Amino acid sequence: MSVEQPTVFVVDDDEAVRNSLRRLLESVGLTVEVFPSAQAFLDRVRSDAPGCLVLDVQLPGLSGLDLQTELAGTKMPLPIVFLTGHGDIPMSVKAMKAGAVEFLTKPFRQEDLVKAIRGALESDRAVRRERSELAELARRYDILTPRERDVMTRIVAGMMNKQIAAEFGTSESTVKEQRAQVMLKMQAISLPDLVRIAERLRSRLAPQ
Amino acid sequence: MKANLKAAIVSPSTWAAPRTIPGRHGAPRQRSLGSPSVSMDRMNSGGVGDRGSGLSSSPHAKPIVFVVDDDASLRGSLESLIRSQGWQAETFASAQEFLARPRVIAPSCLILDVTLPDLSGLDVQKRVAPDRIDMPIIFITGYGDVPMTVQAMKAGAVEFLTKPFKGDVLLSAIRHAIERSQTALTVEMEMLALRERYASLSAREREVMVLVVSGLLNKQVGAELGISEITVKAHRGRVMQKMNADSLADLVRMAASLSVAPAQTD
Repeated sequence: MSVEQPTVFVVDDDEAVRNSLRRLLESVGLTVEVFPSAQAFLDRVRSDAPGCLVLDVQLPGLSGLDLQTELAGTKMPLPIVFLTGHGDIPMSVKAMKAGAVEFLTKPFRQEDLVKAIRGALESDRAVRRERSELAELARRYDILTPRERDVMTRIVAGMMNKQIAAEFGTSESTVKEQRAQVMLKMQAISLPDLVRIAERLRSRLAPQ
Repeated sequence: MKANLKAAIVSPSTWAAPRTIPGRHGAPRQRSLGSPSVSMDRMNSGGVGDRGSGLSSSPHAKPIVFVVDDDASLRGSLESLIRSQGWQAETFASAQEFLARPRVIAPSCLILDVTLPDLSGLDVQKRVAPDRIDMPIIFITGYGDVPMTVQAMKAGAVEFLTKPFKGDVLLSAIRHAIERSQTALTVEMEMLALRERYASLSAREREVMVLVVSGLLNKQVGAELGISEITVKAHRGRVMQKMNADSLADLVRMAASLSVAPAQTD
């Protein structure tokens, strides 16, 4: 998997604003793509592209808040920095409650925008890192056999090999072998390690 | 009336190993993990209560809504509105009055005007919010500006309403805030109990616990600490018992909650 350059996606229907934002952000070393509308952004950008969104609240067609709602439903919602020319409190509250990183009113200080963007990009990086680590753990879990998964659940619940064998009606040595397979496939170096891995996977695992 | 009293009483025995001593809302807090100490002069007297039921019932105690606003008639109407829902209400005309009020252990939330005679609402938030996840803040204001709103939201406010607002909008916000408070209180009580158990371990027992949850075998723990395997086993047994852990896996999870687990190796 190639490492993609994070991009700042700017959506604003005012061409002069798009251009000045692009100049400003590129001058501090950021990669920028601009769009005149929310729809243009949705049409051209993959839902899992890394980076962040700089979004005017007032857009023709799909509004900035609508885009926020739309993206929240996808697998990898980008962090959003909102810009607005009009000071609308209910709108800002709504945007913040929905998870926006920042909400700036024009005219804003350039350093405030850059700071907010850097924060958003860092947050996106952290989320992606966590996601790929979890994906790796899930990949390991996927190669366990169903019985190995049952054994794993019981090990991390604290059951002894003997108890597990009794429950399954198998021998203790069989359970030991299955346990060894679990440790090997999950790449856990100890029981505590396996417990920690299981905790992280908990949200991803189907309920028993 | 009894329910109110129960909510207001802080049982001193529950604070044997406090993470935060229940001082005033705005007072700086002592953090004493591992050294059981009780600051008696901060306790409400008459608090010799049942350790168990006071603790466990507090997320289910009658919710209390605090209102801080210098507008007397607004305080009055909010008080009626709150009481009409069966909640307790306490109102204050200034930030200092509110900050001087001792903490209660009950689900709560704070309705805070942004503009107050002494401190600003945002300053109150700064003082209170970090320590009090169990008391979510709802801002109300007659004057609005977006930067102030955004700052309040970033600092964790659950809602920000501009006057005039509808009663049911505020009530809905209060309901959400109280739910969050109940959850936060439950977690806090569990953590307190866990910290108490951890505080009851000897220094050596804690050392053994940390090494055991890092995955070392008893023999390795012994080598690390310069003690025999038999001694390690004895310490380990006491750790399991005092921590009330059913298994090593259980202990590992407790260590993680307490943040005494070593860094992850995966």
